[in-house]
Amino acid sequence: MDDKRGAITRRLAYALLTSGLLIWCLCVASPAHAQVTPPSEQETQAPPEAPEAPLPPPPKPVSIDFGWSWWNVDGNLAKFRQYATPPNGRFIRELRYISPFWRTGDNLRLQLWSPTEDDYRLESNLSFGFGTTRIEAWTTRNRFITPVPDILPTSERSVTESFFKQSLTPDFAVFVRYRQDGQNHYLESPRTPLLQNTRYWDAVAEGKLGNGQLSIGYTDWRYFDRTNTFPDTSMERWHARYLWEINPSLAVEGTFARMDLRQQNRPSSKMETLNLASDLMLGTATELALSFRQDKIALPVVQNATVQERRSTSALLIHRWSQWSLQVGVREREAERVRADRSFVDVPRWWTVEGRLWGRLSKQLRLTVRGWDERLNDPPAMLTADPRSLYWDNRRFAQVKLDGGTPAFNGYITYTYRRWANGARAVALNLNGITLGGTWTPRDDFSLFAEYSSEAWTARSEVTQSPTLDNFVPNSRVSTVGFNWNINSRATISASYTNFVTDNDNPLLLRDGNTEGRFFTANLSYRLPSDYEMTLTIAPWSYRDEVVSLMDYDTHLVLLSLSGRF
Amino acid sequence: MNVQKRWLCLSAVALALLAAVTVVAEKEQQKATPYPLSLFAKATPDDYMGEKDCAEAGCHYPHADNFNRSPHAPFVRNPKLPVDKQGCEACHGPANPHLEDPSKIFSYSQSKPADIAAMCLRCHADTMRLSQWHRTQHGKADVACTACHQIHWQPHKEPPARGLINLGSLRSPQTEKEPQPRRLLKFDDPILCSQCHQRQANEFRLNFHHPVPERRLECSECHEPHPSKAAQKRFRPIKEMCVSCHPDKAGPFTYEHDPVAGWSGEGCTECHRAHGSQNPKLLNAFSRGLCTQCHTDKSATHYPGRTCWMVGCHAAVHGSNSDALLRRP
Repeated sequence: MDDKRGAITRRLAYALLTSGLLIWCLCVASPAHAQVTPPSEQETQAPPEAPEAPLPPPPKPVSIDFGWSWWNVDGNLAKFRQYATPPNGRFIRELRYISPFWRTGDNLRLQLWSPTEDDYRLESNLSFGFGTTRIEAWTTRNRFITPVPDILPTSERSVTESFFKQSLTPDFAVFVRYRQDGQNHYLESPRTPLLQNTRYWDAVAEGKLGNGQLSIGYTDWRYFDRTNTFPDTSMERWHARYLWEINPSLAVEGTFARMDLRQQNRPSSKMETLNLASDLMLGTATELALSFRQDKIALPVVQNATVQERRSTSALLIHRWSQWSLQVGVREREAERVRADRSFVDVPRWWTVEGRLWGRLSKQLRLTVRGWDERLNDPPAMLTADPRSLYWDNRRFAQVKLDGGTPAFNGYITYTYRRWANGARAVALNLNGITLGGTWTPRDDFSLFAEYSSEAWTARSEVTQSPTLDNFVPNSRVSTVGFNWNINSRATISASYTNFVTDNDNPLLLRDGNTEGRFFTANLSYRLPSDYEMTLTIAPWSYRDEVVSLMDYDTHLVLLSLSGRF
Repeated sequence: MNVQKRWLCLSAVALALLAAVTVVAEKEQQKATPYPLSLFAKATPDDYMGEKDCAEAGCHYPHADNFNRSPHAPFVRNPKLPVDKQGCEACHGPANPHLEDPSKIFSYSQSKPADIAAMCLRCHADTMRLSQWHRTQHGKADVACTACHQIHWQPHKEPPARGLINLGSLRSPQTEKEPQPRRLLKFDDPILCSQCHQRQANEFRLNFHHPVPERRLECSECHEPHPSKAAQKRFRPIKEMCVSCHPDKAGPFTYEHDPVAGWSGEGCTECHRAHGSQNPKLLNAFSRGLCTQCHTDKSATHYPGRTCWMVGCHAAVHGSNSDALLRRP
């Protein structure tokens, strides 16, 4: 009975808020409102003879954004908070200070998001001497939840990072970065929690040297597992790179990197990388890019099949006409793969041919066609119970995109095709995707947008007995519509509605397989005099899982905020 | 021919090609500096008139004033800089010839992307060089620096997010109403990136996605538009960049899940879709369908009613230090 009464109260409250929102819109848009337009707005209606449009007000150094929100969630709170936890109750969304940097050579910026919430972020930037010295630091914490029917502790991630740059000359600088990442991730049984930290720092000197660019750097990365499930790991890496610009038409770049990786109570691993790349302008409209990369890998810790060396070579030719451009390329990739029993080294080779054509069909219409085809030659032998190859022997990608339009209407349509095939096991996966959308702006103060995206998957394999592979590749559809309306110089309303649907055969009747989400979000902003702004957001969202209703939720989120600049 | 001989031949051919190209290139070097850098190469000190005149002459008052509010402004006000790197002329070229012939100035709205990059990289040599820009995906696709970066501050009245930012919009403003000093971007990513990469933006709307719409991640945390940018935000350990945030998947493990471990194949993207997916854990296929697309022999007979990694079976699919069948970490 109480639940029913609560539901009625919620609906009533929501209906009142929606009505209020509509009435407010009508009021601010009505001619009566236009008669009481504040003086500052009248100033914007400048006479035709005015030589220049009035400039926007100069930015003010301090801004604050605060407010109140109400989640009003009915159902699975964990699913609602899966990726982020929005504020609930009173909140400060943002505090910001920007020094008047356009007058001096020094700059300070401090920005604090959600200081009173579970999720927060503090960011600061400081620069001196017209940008020759730059210091940045930020720290953030994000709480999230693995959405399962069981109750799990809230997971958390905290990242702290700082960055320092000192220009030694106008073209040469030293960079130092430090980063600490802590994660407490609670997972559904039978998986145990992941409580882990990483610490990373690097120092790089980079800039112009001679007729080119030099980069020398050192990186140190350490991983600590507080549950002792994975071994603590440390990695050191050195790199040196030089780009030699022989002349404006030709450049050659070489990189050498060496990495040492150590794990607790295990043999050390090493990797050396050599990378050569060249860019040659064959005239004013044609360029040729060549690259070669070689990785020598020593992984004594690995007991099953592993790779001891891999190489990749590519050539890409680009030609530009006045309206069209064509790009064709070929790439060969190969790996020296040591079999699990260390008896033989296989060398599988992948050949990829790629192409891209783009240009204008007319002044308003642009076309892009691109694709690639990758084939595997000499697949390695498998020492598994079923010795047939586990590698994809053919992958294809093709995409056609048409976009353009007029200032009043512009749109796009993209068709995407992907295919993965393994001939040895008679497996083929196909994806046909289409994305189309557009924006219609009938007036300067009003625009409508709509987007639709659909993915259709098909799969076949040697297995014909149900469930087949095709039963496990669901289709999906996503649709979005919305508008932005600047009702007058002070009031703006925007709204969007997003719907996603997953069509899944789901033969095992698992959760997260057949889902539908409906998200309507409306924002009404009203700019008060003196740069204050008030925003009302209403977001009735619903999420449904057709198989496991414990995952469902409904929310009628209401958020009211006020921002000011001083 | 064995592998070593083959590579020796290839290397010899490559060296010969390089030598030939170098000889040709040396001849090319004698030619004049190409446009638009020739604007500066040909200029005399008298060709520079200073920033004040651009604004005070009344011709470019709004632009000059908007530029004053841009975070880019202080960097060209350093009096220690040479005259060709100061004020408006640092980016637009010497202005005195422009007084006589209005066309003699570098206009960013009417120039080719490669020319724009050449102008920007005159000063941003510690970001990358022009030849490196040519090798970027954006450079190859003729996307200019000014497609993403905003030099003259322009206020944006409408949020261009097209509904991408849903939950995140409740936590951070959709548009910057003031200059954004960070990176001089037109908008924050992912709003900026989604203007061209609409398909990827739609993938973020799927049921399972990286928390980009919620503003917990930015596109640039995984994608580096500037390939040689020093001290990159994300470090790539031996496998893919994914393990910088998911370090427990980095290994190397005693028993790797080859060929999807990242040594010879595509790595994480063999099984996962990075932006978003209709399947949990951003997988390419649902439940045991993911595994049986390769392990077809396990499809119908090997515990057909279960997901392979749940209920305690192959729980260590990313690699194991204790079990060759990846059942325990």
